[in-house]
Amino acid sequence: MNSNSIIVSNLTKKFSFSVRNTSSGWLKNLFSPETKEIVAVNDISFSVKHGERIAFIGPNGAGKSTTIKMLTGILFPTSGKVNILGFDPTKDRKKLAYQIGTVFGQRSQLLPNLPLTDSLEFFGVMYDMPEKEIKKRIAELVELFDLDSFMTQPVRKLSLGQRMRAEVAASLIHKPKIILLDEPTIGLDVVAKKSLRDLLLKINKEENTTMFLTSHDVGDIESLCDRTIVINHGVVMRDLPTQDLAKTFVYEKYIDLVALSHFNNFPELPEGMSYSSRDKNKITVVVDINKMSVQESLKKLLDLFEVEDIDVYNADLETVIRHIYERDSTSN
Amino acid sequence: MMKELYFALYAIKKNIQSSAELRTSFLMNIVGMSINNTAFIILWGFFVKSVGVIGGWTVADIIGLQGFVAVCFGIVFSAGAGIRKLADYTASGAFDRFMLSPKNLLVRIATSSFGVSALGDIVFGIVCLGIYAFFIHATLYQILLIVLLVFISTILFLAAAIAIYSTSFFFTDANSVTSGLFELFLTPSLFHGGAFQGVMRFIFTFAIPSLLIGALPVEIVRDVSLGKLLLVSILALCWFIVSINVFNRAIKKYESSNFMTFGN
Amino acid sequence: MKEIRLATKILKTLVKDRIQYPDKLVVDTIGVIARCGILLILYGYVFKLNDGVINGTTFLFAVWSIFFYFSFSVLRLRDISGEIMRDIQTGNIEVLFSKPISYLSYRMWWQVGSGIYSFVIITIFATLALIFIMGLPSTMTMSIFIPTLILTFICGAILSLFLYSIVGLLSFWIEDINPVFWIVDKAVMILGGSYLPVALFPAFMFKIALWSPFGASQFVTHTVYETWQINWYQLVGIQLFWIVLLGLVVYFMFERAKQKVSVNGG
Repeated sequence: MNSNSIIVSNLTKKFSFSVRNTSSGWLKNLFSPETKEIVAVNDISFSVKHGERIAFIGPNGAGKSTTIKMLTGILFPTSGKVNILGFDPTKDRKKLAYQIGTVFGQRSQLLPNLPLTDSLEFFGVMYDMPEKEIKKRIAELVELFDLDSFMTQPVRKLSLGQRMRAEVAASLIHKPKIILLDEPTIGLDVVAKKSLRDLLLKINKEENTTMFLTSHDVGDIESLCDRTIVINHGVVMRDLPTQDLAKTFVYEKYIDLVALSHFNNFPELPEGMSYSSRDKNKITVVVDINKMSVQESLKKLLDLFEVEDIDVYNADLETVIRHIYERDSTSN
Repeated sequence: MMKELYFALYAIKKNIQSSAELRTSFLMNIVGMSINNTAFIILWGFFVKSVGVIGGWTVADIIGLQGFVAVCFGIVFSAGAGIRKLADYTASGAFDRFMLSPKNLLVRIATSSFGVSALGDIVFGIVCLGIYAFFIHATLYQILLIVLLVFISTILFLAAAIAIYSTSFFFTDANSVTSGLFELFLTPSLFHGGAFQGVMRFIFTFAIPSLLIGALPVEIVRDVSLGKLLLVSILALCWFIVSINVFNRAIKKYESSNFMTFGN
Repeated sequence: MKEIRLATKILKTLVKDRIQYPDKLVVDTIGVIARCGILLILYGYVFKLNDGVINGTTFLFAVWSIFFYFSFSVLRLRDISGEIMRDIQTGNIEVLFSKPISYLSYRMWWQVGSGIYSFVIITIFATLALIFIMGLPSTMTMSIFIPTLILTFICGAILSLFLYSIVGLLSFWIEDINPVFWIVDKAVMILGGSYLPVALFPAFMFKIALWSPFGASQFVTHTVYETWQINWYQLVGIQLFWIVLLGLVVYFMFERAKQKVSVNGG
């Protein structure tokens, strides 16, 4: 049996749309407009195994949602193939729908005025589940997600944290093999975020659900996903284990210098080092250790500045990701 | 006071600019609205054809009625489209933003949005009033009356709208209630005026001001009735005072209660 | 069968929702009173002025005819245009596309479910009130009346849903469908016998009302007249014709729309 739940091969999507030419007349624009083509997704390939937890990230406009829409069969690729659980989304969208669950952080799928049980039953029927199974599954989800305390309240009266838990529970009513999450923790407080992430990990462990997450929250990525795919300008920039992602910038080291009294001047730094931030109390320097070793850079800095404290560290994941985004936009 | 006016006009201008960008939609809205309103004229026109002249009302009077109602509807809901959104603002919690604005609250809310389609109503209404004036061979005096009555009925319409939509603060499902009340006010105002007699006329003149914005102005112009003009003017003033009162009371309620914001 | 089960579930859930939150019922009741109620009072006065008969019709027939129009409109099937437009504008349509349902039939059942509670309650009470106040015309006590009324009603509902769905589906191509909606809605209003009962139509207008889908969607208003027992099958036939034709239009429009979404996004 194929251990891959998702296989994407050479996927490309081009959009064409009409453009208003400000120099031609209004009539011409209406009847024979110029068309422009943009390549939203450009020849991407990757595969996902059953039970994997993938973060699919990229700046706005990178091609993330376009790719996801092609995975669910809403959008048809211009070229390339998508295989999800053996289905071709362009041909078997409905059959595939039974196997996929979706959670949108910014859009609720629940019925707002009725208690949660009604929404769960409603989705159960939508996914063609027999009555007995629906009841059983609801009981399971209530226990798993600890929904008992607010099951009977109308959904619109729930707090955001409760609602997101309910949304995830509803997306799992039919025991999908893959769950797609779009910004699931947006707007949640720190405690609620952790609680939701723990739940998702639990589900993934118990039901071996493949998770495909898009999020701008680095905490989500770090705690939930063991693998990260970075997409930008329609191309896969990185596809690697999340913990290795930080290591890609292992050639950069950050050194914080805390002044003994004040930093009065900021001399030009030798090549291989640059200021990341500076004020009279603290300086942060970035060292390219391909060009200069940590030992050498420390020596040079301590020659230049009088310090009370010094701190040497790697870039954190957030900075790493920002660098990936920035680097790609400058190199283009 | 001048500052308020200046700000109101500025807000309206900004709103127009942002909607005029959808130029095709803009035109379509105006055309669509005109066709929409013409339907009522067709309906009541055929009514008069089948049923005959009632209460002295001819087809020309129907056109005049639609004209008056369309113009005051158009003026109020184009520049002051924000009034209609009061229910949404209170439910979503966006209302707080307005309360913090240094401008007059009511003006701020009213000009917070511009109703493009309502411009179609203004155009349509003016055309209708023009046709009406032509059909009745209006004298200069009658034409002046028409202009004056447009002004008065607009004030009345505004007052009714403020009063009705201010009730948003008193109900949880404000949208439904306010739209129901508004329906109760607007729909009868579009009916054949001559058919309102006796008790019906009393109710819809004094209790619900539906006849005041269209039917009575038509009769005033047609009969050059200064008595009715005085009545309408006084009622307009009363309604305006009442509406401001209702609004202020509603604000007080909002400020003093734990208002539920279903915020995300 | 899955479709039936889902449809029943939609209806049950929405009715339950409406029972819990009767605000909509209140609004709909006010709406019916404001429009239909006031209108009937006005017509009462008008008929009295004309010695009780206008165009060969009495007040009794006019009342029931107008009432049927407004009662039918409580179902709010026309709102499906706005719902489809909103689905497209908010992107909610993509969420629904990712579910194993047929989008259009889901929306249609949803629309029926939204209005059915108000419709049943208001119709029952208003009918009782009217019987008490006005009495029933003899045409309504005939044996064929109820079955043909039900038939025309169902056909009219299907036709309305198709008509307004076509308007809603235009959102895939036009940004703001409201102007189109107003035109269609007003055509239905005029030709359906709302503010002016069909019996009072001038001859040419009656013909248009008879043969157009706008008028056909409201044929329930024709059921009270004496001519109904003779030509009900003709009218139902016209309804069926339009149902098939518009059904095909809906189907093809939706297929094109899906293609458009799948090729060029929302």
